[in-house]
Amino acid sequence: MTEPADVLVIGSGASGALSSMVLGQAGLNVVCLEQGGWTAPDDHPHFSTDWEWQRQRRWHPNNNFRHGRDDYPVESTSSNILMWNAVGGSTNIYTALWPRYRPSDFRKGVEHGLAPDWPITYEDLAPYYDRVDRIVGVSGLAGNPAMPPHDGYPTPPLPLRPVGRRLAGAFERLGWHWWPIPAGVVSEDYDGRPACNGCAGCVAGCARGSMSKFSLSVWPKALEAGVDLRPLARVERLERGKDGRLSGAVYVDRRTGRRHFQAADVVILAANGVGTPRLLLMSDNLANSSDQVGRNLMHHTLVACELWVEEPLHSHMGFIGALISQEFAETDVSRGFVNGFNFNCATAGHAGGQSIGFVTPASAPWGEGHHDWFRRHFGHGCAVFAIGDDLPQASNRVTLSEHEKDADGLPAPKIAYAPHENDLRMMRFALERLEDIAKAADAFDYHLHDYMSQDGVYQTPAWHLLGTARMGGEPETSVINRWHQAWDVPNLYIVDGSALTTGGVVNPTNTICALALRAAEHLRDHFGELRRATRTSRN
Amino acid sequence: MNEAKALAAELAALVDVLVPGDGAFPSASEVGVQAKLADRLTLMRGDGAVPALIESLAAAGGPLARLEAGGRTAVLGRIERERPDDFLLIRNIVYLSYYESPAVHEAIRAMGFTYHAAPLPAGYDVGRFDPATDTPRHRRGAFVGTDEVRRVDLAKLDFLGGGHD
Repeated sequence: MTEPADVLVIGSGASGALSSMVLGQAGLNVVCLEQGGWTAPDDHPHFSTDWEWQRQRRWHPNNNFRHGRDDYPVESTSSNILMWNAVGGSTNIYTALWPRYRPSDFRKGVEHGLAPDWPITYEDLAPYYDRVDRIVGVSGLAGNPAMPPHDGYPTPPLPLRPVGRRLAGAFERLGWHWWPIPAGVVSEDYDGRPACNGCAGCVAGCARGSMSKFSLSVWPKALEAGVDLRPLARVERLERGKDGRLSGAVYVDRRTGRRHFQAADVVILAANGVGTPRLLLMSDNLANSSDQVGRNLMHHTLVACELWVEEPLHSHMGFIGALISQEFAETDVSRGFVNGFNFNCATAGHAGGQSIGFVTPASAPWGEGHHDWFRRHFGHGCAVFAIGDDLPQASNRVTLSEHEKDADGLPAPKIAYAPHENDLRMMRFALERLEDIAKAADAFDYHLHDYMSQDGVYQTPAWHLLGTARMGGEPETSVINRWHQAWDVPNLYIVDGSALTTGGVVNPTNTICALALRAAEHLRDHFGELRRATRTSRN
Repeated sequence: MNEAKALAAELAALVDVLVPGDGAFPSASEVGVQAKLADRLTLMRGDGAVPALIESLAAAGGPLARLEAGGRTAVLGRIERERPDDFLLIRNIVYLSYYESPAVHEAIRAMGFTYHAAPLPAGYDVGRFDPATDTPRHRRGAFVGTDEVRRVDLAKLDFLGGGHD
């Protein structure tokens, strides 16, 4: 048995890193267990001529395709899970689009009642968004009229480039909102990290650390504060004492195969929207008197358009994100559905990726027409994604697989996900709007993609893993309270994407970080009381 | 022709049907894609993958090396129709391998693009955000504030099946 910790953090991704840093800097004895190892800058494929091939193999975002040594399988016929198990978690491979949730995202219970209200508001979270921006190091342009006013970004926006200007022109023609995209990427040297050099390898993470890879941005600060980070430590179960509180966790040291128990006064779960419910379910259905653990899984709705214009856009260069448009972000029931969506505008990849179909199945033909297609399309393309707020449904859930296990013999998670009819209507509407954009951009060729299989199954690239241990105001319908404290287990906190009550219309990492920072600072500021808590407060 | 040479010839013929050369771009076999195809297919599908591919080409009307251009295209077309997943894997390996080649990068540069063999270390000079020209001048966009969120009328959303106000 190792020395008891004040705080045990499980998972070292975005939310675990921030939690560890805040509590470590407060002088607490913090242990963080991470099932993966370190992903060093040189491990990324950016320096290799075969980097696009590696993106299809050991750098594939889906762990089921990648079969990495630190991964666990995920059983699913619907969701293509994006997950990276290593120090820094999925920030090793995300694209760091950094918009915020909007005020109405927190009020869906009031707005339509098909999803619950959060127990907090945008205003509760806004100061933490501002501080996360400075901690993480981001770029963007203040003054977006589609969002509440907030502090400026620590570095200026990334360049608009021909892709952004071309699409901005299309949005102007349509009379729709657009704005340079906020990014978790520094456009100037910042906090010891170099400015983005436009290498365009973003789909395989960022080897430079210009994009906030948390092992290079947040973890150095946490380690400097004395946090005991233990890579290759896979947690097998959380242990409960006779008082109903957690006593700690049993983990496998994957270097030796030995099992250890780590005692702690407080446990923070930061294992992502799949890993966290998996661990709770593996721990005798812990914190689940509401039967909400694993339920309400949200990925966002996603449809896409890849388009090509006559003008050379040099779209194999620069940061992957270009613009956002929040024209359709709020509910308007005259469209035939509730909730809204956001357009993320992106570049088009290097030559290999473009030839096999970068974001849609539109690919170069084989045979005699190959080079003519390539000459016409390469460097002339871009992509627009419509990301929408999918409704939380109890039937969309993470359970434990009866068949698959990980390398340590632990049950794999099993995922069932199907969009609600409301989500399908939103996606159909968004596809029509994507076509509007392609036409307004004077595209000579475009391809729409609905991510439906030949059998009609929505097979989303599940970049976002949300809602599976959601925050709420009532213990009967949620897993954690407004401070991320489990209703059933007062010294358990859940801070990853599973805590989100609704999904919003944007990429969620910024919001996950702001929530984790808020929870960690609350815990820090009340630690003397909370470390001994025997009940979870409704306030 | 011994067995190894015949295998190499068949793979070379296959990759050239998929990516033939033209005046500016080399053919796939000229830049050695057939070797990468063999390596990567074996990596993904195991030791029997390449022999299985050769057999499937023969079963579809091959071997390719004995056919004229039209016959080779017909064989690949048959496999694409009958075994689309296998065909897609082979095609993607060939495409990705092809665009790794320095000779192909040179052809892309000749199109007028700056193009590096790998993203790093060089990166690309993409300039900086120009506030004078790149800042949006429109004032479009709005949000519903926390205290302004109101119940929407769900009556028109018949797919909800009633029970919602």
